Amino acid sequence: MAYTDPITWTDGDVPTAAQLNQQIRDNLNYLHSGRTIFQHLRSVGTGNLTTTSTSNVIVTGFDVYFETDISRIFYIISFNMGVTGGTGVLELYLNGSNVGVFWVSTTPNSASVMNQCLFLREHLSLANNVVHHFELFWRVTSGTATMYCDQSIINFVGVEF
Amino acid sequence: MAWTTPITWASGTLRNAAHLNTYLYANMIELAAITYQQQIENYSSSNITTTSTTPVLISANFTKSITIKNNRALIVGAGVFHLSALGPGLIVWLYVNGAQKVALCSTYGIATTPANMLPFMYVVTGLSPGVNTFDLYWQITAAGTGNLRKNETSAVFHVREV
Repeated sequence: MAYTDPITWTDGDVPTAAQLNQQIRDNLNYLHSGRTIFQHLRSVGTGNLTTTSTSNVIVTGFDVYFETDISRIFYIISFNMGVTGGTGVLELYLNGSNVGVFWVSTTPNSASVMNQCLFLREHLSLANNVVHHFELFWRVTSGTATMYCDQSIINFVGVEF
Repeated sequence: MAWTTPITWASGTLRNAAHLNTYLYANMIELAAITYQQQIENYSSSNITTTSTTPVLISANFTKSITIKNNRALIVGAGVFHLSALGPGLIVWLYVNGAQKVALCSTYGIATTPANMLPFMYVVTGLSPGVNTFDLYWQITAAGTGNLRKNETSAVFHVREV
């Protein structure tokens, strides 16, 4: 059930049953049910992801639509990644726009590193039920980048905040 | 203060102060209260180690119970880990109400120096309202020793309803 912006009451208003059900019952139930969340996982054992592309390509499966009712989203991306022979770059796009390069890595000796990117995105549309499009891209300057999910998950979480 | 499912108003129905206190006042207070538990293993305290190749509780401090209103909890944390040698992996697991849930984070190929910061964040869904327990387990994947280093950075484990 969606959230409805509260009415500004004025002197002399007599609230109707419909108004009370929307403004009190439905909005309380909405708030009680918790903020909107998306969580996109790549589970352990589903195969590693690799790229040798030197231009942005979508990280397989990490193309997410998220409906919001408020103007802020807190989101996180965590992954275990190694790069051989170059540098790996991840970029997050929101509604078709690059919201920043947020991770670059070089990992020698075939090691991999757990990484986590945390962001708070503000000033999204305040309208209710707006759908936002998140896309996670990656590339390498050279060599091969690998996201490992043989031991732990790749996780992309967004929470209204 | 407990949550009470809001009533459906009907035309012509009169409500008294008790109704408003139950369905509006008390529920607003309940909504404003966010339950959470947090464990901070302070910098400079002793490291924790494991040689177990099956998941074991990191320590008694890494088990947290919270009472949630609906069915979700947010798990956030981080710690600096290292392995005694190149080769084995180290995995940090989340257990929910005693059952293995998910491998939150991992590292391998990292020897004693350097250590590796392992961060994690996860949303647990499908919980039942009420008390739920969340534990952090860990294991290594082959012979060696895994270390949670607290001589350089605090380790944090945070659980809250969302």
